[in-house]
Amino acid sequence: MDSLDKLLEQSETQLPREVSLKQPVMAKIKARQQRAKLINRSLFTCLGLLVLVAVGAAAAGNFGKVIFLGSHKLSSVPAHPLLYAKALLEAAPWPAIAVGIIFTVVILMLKQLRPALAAHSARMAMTLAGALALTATASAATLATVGSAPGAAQQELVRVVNGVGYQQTTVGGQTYEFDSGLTDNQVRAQIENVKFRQLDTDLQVAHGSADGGTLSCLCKVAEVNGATIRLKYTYTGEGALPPNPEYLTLTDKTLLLVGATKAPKLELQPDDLVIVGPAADLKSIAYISKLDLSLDDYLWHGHFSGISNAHRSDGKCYNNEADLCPNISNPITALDVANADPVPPGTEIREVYGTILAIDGSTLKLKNGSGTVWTFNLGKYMESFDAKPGDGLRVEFWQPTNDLGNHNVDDESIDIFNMNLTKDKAALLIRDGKLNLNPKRPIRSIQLVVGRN
Amino acid sequence: MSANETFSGYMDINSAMDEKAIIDRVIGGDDESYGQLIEAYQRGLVRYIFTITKDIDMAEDIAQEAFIKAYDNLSKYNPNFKFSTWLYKIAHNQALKSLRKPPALPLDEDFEIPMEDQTADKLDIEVREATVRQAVSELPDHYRMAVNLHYWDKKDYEEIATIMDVPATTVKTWLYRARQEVKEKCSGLVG
Repeated sequence: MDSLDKLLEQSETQLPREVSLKQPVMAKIKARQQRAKLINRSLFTCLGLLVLVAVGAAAAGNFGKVIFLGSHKLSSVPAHPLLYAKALLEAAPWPAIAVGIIFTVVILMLKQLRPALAAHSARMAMTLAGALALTATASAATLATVGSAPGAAQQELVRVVNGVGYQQTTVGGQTYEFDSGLTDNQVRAQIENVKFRQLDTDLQVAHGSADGGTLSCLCKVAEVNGATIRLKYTYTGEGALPPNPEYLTLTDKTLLLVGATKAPKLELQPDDLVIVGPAADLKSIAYISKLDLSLDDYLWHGHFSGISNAHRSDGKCYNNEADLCPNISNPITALDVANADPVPPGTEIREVYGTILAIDGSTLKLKNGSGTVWTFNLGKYMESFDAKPGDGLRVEFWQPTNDLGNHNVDDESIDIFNMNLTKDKAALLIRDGKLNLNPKRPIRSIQLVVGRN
Repeated sequence: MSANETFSGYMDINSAMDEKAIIDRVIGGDDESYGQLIEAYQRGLVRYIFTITKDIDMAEDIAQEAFIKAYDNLSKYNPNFKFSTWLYKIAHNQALKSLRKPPALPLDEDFEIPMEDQTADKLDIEVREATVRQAVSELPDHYRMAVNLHYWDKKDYEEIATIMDVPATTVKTWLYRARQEVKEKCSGLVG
């Protein structure tokens, strides 16, 4: 090495003072570590709080209900794992979960993030404040979901689980179930059918009629002309509307809307669908309800029939090609009718569905869904009745618009002729609020129609 | 000067193994061991930064920041390089940032280095040292940094190139030119 190199080596820059960095650097490092520890602890605390909130909200809210459904009932129904999963996702306490995931990621990356977050007190304070705000917001949002209404998937799951594959709907506080294979329109039609039946019952109650009086017409408003309202029959049954449907003409002197709401006057427009309750004098007082339904799929199950006077004055049936209606003066034989046969139009129907408990001579005991045991004395018609205990049975009561006469059935337990069809009893007839329109079990049908002489 | 200090101001860490052992202990949680690294490199680091900033307070502050930053990122330190090289690079970047100097430095890649002079100095060492010191302080910044790192911190061309983020050939050129300029300024002293 030459002398210049040597001189350069020996000529290092002189510092104006001695350097001692160890103490200040170590002090700063210690302070940063303490800030980092505080951040770490705070993040874990926030995460722990969020877990508690999430678990609490899940247990108390819809998530817990879905879990309960799955643990208690899902195995007993046709499997719906996708629907169950969808309901769980829908009901999960997502705000807490989402923020919890964020905190978890930050904690996992804390080693890399620590230098930035713990650099100085201000940044540490901002980090803590942000974590606290995020935790509070997520917790509040999660707790707010506890009382929230269940989502679509949850509702569907409840319907599926409770209905063992049947769709369900609740109308007016009562639950109705329908075959799961129906189209949306058919379900809608059946729901309207149920509503219709409720209105029917309400009308009867409003009218004060017993089992004898029922609806006068299911009609469409053809014309509203001042005080005059002309109604056209609308039921179709299996066939088309009669070529010249009869009109009812009402006045609007007193029109009462019954059902869910009672109003002194009902505003009607042409094409409105109404059912008219029985009245002694249709020109002065009519109990009427306006319906919002379509009749297109109404008769699919053959259970609905247009409510009107089944026969004209000459004995012929309305809207029926047969000359004789089932409920004209001669009594009706108890028929063994296959399930799919439609009910002839022009009659009102009540039904009981249940399981045959015992058959003794001409008496049959039937237990319905609510546990009520009905006893029917079918008399001579038992001879042609092919059924045994354990069979499902649907007993339909065809009820004409006029009073029933006691001609064919003597029954000590059920006095169908003098039944006061209050709303409660009507509900019982619809299997405790569940209208089973298409039962799965093999059944025989008996249609007991009592006409009058 | 303590037994462990060289005339350049280093507290010797006896070997790369010692340094690695210290770093491993710090990473393992023994923060107090980091103090050994601070003591080993503090003087040289401050001096190097001082040659850039010419302000002792700023130099100390930047040195502290460099030590803290090195501590924060110790887990990322590549043991294939010397710790001092890594530390100096951190400090170098911090210093330039503090001065808001543009990072670009002339490369002079095509310059050819002629043979070294053999003239020996004849004047009194102290006078010559002071003169040389003065001449070095008047060098352009990048020459001065290279001189500091090479002659006082004992860095080789590769290490200096890493610290200053330039090719090793450029470092070599700078050092040659630095020597030439010092020689011119100290003509008659260094021959």
